[in-house]
Amino acid sequence: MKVVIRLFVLLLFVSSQSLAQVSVGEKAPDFTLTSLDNEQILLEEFEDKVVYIFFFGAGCPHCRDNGPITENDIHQMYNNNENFVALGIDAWNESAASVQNFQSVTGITYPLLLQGRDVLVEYYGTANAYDRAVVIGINGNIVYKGDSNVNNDVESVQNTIEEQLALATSNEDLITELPSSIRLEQNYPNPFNPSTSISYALSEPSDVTVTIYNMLGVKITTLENGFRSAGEHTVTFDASSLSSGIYIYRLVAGTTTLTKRMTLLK
Amino acid sequence: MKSFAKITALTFFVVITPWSIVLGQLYGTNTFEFQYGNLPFEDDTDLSTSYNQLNLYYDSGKFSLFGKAEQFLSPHSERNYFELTQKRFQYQDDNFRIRLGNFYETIGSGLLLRSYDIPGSVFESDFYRTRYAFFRDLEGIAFDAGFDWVEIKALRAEPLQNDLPPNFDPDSLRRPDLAEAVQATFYPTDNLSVGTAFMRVNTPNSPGFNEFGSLMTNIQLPANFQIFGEYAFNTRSDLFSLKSDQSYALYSGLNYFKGSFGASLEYKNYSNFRLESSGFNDPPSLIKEHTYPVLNRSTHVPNTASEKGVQAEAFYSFDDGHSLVANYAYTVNNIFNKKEYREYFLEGFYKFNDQFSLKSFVDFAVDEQKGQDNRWSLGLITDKSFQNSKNVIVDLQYQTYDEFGSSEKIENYFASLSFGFTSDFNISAVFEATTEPGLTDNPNTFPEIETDTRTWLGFNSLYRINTSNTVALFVGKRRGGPACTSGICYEILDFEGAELRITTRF
Repeated sequence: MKVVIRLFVLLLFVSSQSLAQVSVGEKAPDFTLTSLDNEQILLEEFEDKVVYIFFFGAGCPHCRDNGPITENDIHQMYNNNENFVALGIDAWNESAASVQNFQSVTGITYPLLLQGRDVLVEYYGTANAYDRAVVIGINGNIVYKGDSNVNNDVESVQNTIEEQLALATSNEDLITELPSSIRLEQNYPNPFNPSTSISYALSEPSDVTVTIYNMLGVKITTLENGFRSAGEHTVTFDASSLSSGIYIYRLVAGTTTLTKRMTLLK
Repeated sequence: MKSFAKITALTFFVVITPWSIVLGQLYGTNTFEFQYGNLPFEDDTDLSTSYNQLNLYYDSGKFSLFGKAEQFLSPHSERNYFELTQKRFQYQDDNFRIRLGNFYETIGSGLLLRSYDIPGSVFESDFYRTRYAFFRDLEGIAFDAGFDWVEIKALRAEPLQNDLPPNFDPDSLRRPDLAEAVQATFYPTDNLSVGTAFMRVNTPNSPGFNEFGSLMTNIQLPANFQIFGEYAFNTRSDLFSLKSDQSYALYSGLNYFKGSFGASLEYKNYSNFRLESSGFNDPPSLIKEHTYPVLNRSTHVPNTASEKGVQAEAFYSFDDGHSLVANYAYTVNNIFNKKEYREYFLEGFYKFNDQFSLKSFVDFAVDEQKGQDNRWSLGLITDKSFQNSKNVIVDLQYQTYDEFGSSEKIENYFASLSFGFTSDFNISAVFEATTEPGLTDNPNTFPEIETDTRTWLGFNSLYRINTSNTVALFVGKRRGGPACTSGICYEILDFEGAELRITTRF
């Protein structure tokens, strides 16, 4: 009887094969795989880029039909954008020679990575979800995860990539507009009569004061006093009530102090 | 829930079974398979694994019960399982049948829904490394009724996604879709049948339902002609538009036979018709399913996203036992760019006398999807019988083709020598070789790409102990690859080692 009970218990508790997967909005699992060109490709190298991943099987008939779609409708469309990267991952773990044949038949020119089934399982939770497209956004999160063959969701993938690329570009513009350091520009015009503009730039939001002094160090007036956002700012100095001469203007932003001279000519 | 299923299984087999014998007829089959060995190129050491499949049938008048229990044991606990993988209750009267549990059913020609069982097959994926029976059943309820002029079937069931093992968790991913279907086939005359079907599918990640309709007919024409066809469509598509942006499947054929001559012509046109997510429909491939190994694995898998094609076949049986079969198949996929599959096949069977026969074939194909051009396949099989039920079969096959992007000819060899000592005992040796780069190259040694010819040599023996018990033993290396049976293609893994299979009927 004990043997029967033991057998019963044993059979009840044999384990199962379960694997987690990631969803849209979650951080894309990192991976390191070898490409057909024998280069180590790390996902983390593409931080701040929009990454398109085509999970394929080198021997998968549908993937062979759909491979040219990924090349022509995805890769070729966005290849010129420096913020875009396309990767193919062989999820059937086939030999490099098989993947070479796949590349030859499909005409894919973006990097094909070998032995990637574990990556597929990490993304999808199962090993049978090949012929799928995944898009990773500029924040490193999954922004699109296809649930059918890649020929079915080309438009959705394109829309997602374009949204992400637009986001990347606007972020880039923002970054280029932001000064890398605090600057105090020369006033314009200079010499001036009776008013002039003083521009300064902040690399990050700061408490700011812009103060005017005469050559004796006596404070004439304060033009700015308060918290200001990062970026370019301009204030106007009206010297109608002042006599001709050299004046000093001083910018204090956080711990930074910058000073320049200007000439009032009446 | 899994524990509950196991308790049910054990209860069924251990408690109910002995008592049920008294009340009705109990019979079944059992297949036990023991393997010692591994997949080639695997780093792991050789494994001892065992797989057992028990099928129990119980009939009592109009009621019947069925249960399939499978068990797999290996040194890796996460791969092991014991599951009641199928159970069915059935009530059958003269005109109708109700099935509850796991069952097989096909709607029309399989354009909408097809389930299947490949008896005796044991499937293993090289990721999960768990062995289990290969079938795609439906789990739910089915009703069918038949009268002189009409046949009706209705079902509400979840098709199995059979590339996930029985112990996959969550179990719900193995049956992601819910299909509800009704079909009615009318027989207004003996020579005419017309049918219609409606199916509603609820798939995960899909808003609402997808609904499909189907129209089918079968007409027996004068002069031994028969015409048949089915048109299935997504109800959101324009009816009969047959445009590439619509979702439909059209399959039709024409048969003719007279005396020893027969011919058939079939046409297919599939567009956006892979029914997600488990892809449970199986429109006919219209590619000849060969039994010859070099051709069986060179098959074409239909891509119902966009596939058109024809198949024509003719056969003639001569009075003295000779026969001739000719087949032509053409398929074009137009997903992004056009990819063609074209195959010409000719097979002859020549019977010298009752004790000596010869079969040969020649096949030419172009398969752009696989990147194979000028694919020639040849074969010669002789069967010599002796007195006392002894026989010798020699099977020689050869295949060669040009691979896209490669200047070298690819070659495949198959040779088999089989001795039948009695009708109950035979042994055979099978040798295979290939220069296919995808197979000669070891995936684990990249960047090195091996190109040396790869070979397999295996020995089989089969002994029928009696009408109920059979023992089969394999030792050596076995070549895997795609295998097709009854229109169903699946991947068989290479194997290296020893395999013992005991099949029992009771």
